Amino acid sequence: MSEQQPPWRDELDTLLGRLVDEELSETETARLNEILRTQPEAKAQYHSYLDVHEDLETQLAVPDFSALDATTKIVEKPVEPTYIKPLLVMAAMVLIGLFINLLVTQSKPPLPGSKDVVEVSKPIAIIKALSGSLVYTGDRGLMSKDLKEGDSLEGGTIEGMTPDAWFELEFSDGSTVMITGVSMLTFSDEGQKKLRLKEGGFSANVNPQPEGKPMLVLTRTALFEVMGTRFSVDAAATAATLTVSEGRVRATRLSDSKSVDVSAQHRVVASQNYELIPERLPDSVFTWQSQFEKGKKQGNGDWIPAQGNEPAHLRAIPYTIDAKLDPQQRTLYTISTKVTQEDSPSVILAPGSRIRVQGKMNNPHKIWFGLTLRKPDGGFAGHFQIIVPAERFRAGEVFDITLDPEEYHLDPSLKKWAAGLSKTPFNLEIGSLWCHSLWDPVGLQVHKMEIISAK
Amino acid sequence: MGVSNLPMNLSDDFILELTQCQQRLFGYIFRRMANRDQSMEVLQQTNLVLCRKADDFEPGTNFNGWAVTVAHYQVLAYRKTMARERLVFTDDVFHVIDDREDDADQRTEHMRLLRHCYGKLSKANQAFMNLRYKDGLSVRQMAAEVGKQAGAVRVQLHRLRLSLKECAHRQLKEQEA
Repeated sequence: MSEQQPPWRDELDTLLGRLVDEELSETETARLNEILRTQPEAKAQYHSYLDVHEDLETQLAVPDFSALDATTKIVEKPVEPTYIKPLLVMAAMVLIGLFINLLVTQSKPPLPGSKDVVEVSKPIAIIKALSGSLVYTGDRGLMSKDLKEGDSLEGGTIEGMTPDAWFELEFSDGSTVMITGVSMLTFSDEGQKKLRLKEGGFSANVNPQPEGKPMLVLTRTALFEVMGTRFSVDAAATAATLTVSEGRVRATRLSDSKSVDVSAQHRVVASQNYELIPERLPDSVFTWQSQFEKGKKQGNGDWIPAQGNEPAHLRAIPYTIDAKLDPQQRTLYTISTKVTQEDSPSVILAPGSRIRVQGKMNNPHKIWFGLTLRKPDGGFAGHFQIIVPAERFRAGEVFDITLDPEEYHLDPSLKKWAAGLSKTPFNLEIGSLWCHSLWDPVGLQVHKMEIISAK
Repeated sequence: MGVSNLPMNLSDDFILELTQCQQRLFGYIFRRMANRDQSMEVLQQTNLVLCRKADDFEPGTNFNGWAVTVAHYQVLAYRKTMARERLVFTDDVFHVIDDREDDADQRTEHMRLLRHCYGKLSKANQAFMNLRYKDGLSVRQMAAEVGKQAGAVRVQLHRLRLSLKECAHRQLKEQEA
């Protein structure tokens, strides 16, 4: 005759199953506590069940610790320790970095019958670096969000889904292109490289191309022909801005087929609203302020016009992470605004500058404030960020916070590529400012953002 | 705010030790918090404190033991700051669960046995477990993936875990016999 089990044992096992599957209700939580409190033998059963769960996670799951991954790389291939090591510390500090890194570094084999597999038949480029939420659609319409460094890609479309997205692609001839932020770029290379920028921005460092086969960059309003140079393009619905750092690029406005050559340190705006005349890059400026009252062009958020005492502002918009990337399908609540605009001088973050943000939120919550920086040649220089604790905010009251960029840290999810990124946020062009409350919808809104120069 | 008070001279040994103990620290914290997000927050705080106190660490000494002690205090600190209703365990139950020797050798052996037991599962059951643990799908997502009701997936997952638990337990008994 078998030994009779106390009835709570099966119930406890069931509750533990629900606990590790993150499905425990309040009532079940209370019951779990009761059993653990009243049954001395329940403790061993709890740990025994958790042992199995933990061991399965350890053995089957891709480790979800960006610090672990990044540090392993450092140990294998040491780089300058002066900034790598503090970065490890920063990596441990910031949840969003951990999460984003998890999103982009998880490598998952195809599920039986799943359709989100990138079938690579003719690779034309490899992923050199990436961060943030990105979606790649291959030539045959196959989608993948499980991108990772070193993946070979055939032609296709890469989309940056969030302001912190960054993606760098290297063609077989060593030419590189890079998108940042919310952007969509289609690329192919069948003897001639062709790129189409539907929205957002990208920069490129193009090695000399075969005679008669320049790299072609197409936007809604312009065609750029590139033989070998460094340049960047920002595209919107009615205008495309080409900025050339080195070499020369031929720009053609599609509406009237008018063409001009744009040389180094010049830029041109291809739009019906501008003359197609290259102009020398204007001197940089060191101060800037948002102008949300002028409309939503600047920002990525829910634009609300001024009403009564409430100034025009941007509200955080939700971005729900795909289930394949985040099984919990959490939603990020974020606001961003462009700083350096296509039709205005570069805004440079000078040492001693301050970043001032005014806004409001319904529920006090810690907020991640960050900025995206570009190198002088338009290349990505990094995301730097700081977390401001919830104690600094009051429910429903306007906050006016001044931040010292000296205290900003490189986004931990970029740690792997730190060697090629800036060590500090200073003396770089500010692409955008952003903030978010991570997964919690706290009603975050921003009335004004400002770069204040050093006194 | 900021990291100005962090030591800048973290040794490679320290970084390696910190790296290697991440999974274990997370496991230690998770079984005391029973909530993934909260555990990640405590892990970050623990890493931060470990880095701040890096100078206290003597190479060759038990890093894991030190790290677990730090994690323990971080769990306690986190519980103090968190509203009671957001914590899974009440204080008295937490103390019951917390009162456990963290025997690294025993855990390593358990993991080895579990790996052996997992290898004995059918290919179909392994694929099923992979959906949960390798691909990180929730029960509902698994249900959609395999075309079953969520309840059936929940039961199958639970049975497989229990079967692995019993298998590992049986193997351990056989070793001890």
